[in-house]
Amino acid sequence: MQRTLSTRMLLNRYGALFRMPLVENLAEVGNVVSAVLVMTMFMWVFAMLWQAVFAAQGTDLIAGLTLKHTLWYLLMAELVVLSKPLLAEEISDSIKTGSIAYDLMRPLDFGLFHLSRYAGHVAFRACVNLLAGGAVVWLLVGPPPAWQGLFPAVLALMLSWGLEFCFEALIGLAAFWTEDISAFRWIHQKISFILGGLFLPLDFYPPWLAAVARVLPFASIIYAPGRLFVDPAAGRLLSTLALQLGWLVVLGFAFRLLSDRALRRLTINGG
Amino acid sequence: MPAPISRRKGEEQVVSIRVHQLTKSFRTRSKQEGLTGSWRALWKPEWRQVPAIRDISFLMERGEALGFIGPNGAGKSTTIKILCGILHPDAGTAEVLGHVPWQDRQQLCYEIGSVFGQRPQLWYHLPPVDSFHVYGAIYGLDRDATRRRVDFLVDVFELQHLLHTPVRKLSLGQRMRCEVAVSLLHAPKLLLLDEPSIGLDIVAKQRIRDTIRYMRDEEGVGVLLTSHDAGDIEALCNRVIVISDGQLIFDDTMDELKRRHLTAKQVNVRYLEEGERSLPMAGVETVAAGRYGMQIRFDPRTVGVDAVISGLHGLGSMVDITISDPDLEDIIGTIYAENALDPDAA
Repeated sequence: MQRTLSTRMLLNRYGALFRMPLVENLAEVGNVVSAVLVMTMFMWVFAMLWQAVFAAQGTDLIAGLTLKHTLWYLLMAELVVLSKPLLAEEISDSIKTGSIAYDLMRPLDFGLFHLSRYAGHVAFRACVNLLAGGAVVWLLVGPPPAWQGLFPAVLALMLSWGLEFCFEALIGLAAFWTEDISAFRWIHQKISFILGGLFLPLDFYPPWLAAVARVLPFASIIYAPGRLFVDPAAGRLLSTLALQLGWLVVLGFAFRLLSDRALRRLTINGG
Repeated sequence: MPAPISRRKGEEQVVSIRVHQLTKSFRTRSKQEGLTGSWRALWKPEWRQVPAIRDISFLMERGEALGFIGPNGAGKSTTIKILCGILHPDAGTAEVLGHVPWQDRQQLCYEIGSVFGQRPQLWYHLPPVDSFHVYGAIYGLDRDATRRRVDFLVDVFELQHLLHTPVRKLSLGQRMRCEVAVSLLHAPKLLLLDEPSIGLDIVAKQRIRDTIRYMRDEEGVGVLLTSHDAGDIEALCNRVIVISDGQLIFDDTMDELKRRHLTAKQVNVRYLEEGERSLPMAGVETVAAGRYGMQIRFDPRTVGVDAVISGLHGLGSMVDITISDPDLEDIIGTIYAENALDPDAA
């Protein structure tokens, strides 16, 4: 008996998996409260820090960005990092405990299964973080510099979480070959923070470093959405989205390749 | 070695699992002891093939309840994993509900349900009803169909009061009932149960067994059950397969298992008056003796039951007597022991 599913059924299936983290997050109010606290505190610390930097420099503009630009940029950068679930751990734990084998007993695609859950988690956390962090930044430096940057930023955010999903899933799958993935996680995280521009916009870096960092995937993840949000010029929009899409193709392909190999290895060698 | 299984006409309708000379081994790294050993293993790793199962063949009919027992590391879960399609065998063939599991896993998923005692499938922080609906969507059921099926299962498994309580607040027994119910949501033809009663108290165990039996009779779901608990097997299965050290050492009905291996009967007797007693009969062993009673064991093939009873009767006026078979657990222990002594017994 060959079973084929309609598109509606597939949407229904992965839609249900997408909704599950939303329901879970709402059921666990404590998690939401702690997320709000972390975001509020981070943005407040950033605001104090950058107010002091701009005051010390005695200028309104550093590398073409005002204090308002900088803080709204940092809000977006933090949003990317703080709204994602711990996917690499989740995958590597399921490999170490062998429970990944049981996940394979469902009529689900490995990648889409994780992606829909990841997206559900991100959607909820991003809304909460945006409201909490946005309120702090708004109170301290006023509304965003360009409202027309919102839609491009949302687009870029989605692509950046897509990229981050691929990175995390690749790191998680590495558990098939090495027992401990914490070294990979650590390296990825630190490189992302520095070359992605989590603590300061890449514009503030020495020009040669900024030029290199901008084309790397880490900037497509952390730097791109925020920079687009505060300065949504048409040229920037196109080049940013094109670069993000390009990296997504590369990393998505790498993920497919590695997950296929990993699952084949599992079915041959056992969990 | 079991005879090769040939396919007969019309067999497709009645056979749910067909396994023929299934063999699987795993490659593991071996290392000599100590620092030198570690150093050597780093430069020149040595690999060793560890056999998990060897030449396993059996048939399971549709709607049959088959118990699968064996000590830890015997190859039970390797076999189950191959039957689910999550492991490739090295040699041999297998067919589950007409599918070759490792080639057709995605299709097979729709037709089998599974409960792995150690691997919960319900969302821990949410009430079971949420998980039921997600699994409904995963298996391609529409909302109404899911609702109807959930209503039915809630009735059978008596989940009315549990449905809206977060799973983490349910007792282990309640959780297990929900786990078994959710595994039946898509009306599978075959249910794989791996240690479903692990950690449950006797009442919860009984309840789970009753509902599984009900579903087996009601919907004709085949049950393949692995358990350490002989009671589960006894309550649910009409046939039992024993594997040890990767090999099939017994495959027959429950009754046959008892007939062949029930070589002892146990008698507990209580007397009205206090006194020191013993039964000096050939082939009768005194297990325990007290002031008012005693426990003896004998082989009914060599000593007649009536001779033993009249012997006991002659020792005083009896107030109570029970004659029982040893537990399944003891029987299985005997089978393992026999096979450990004689590796070619299979």
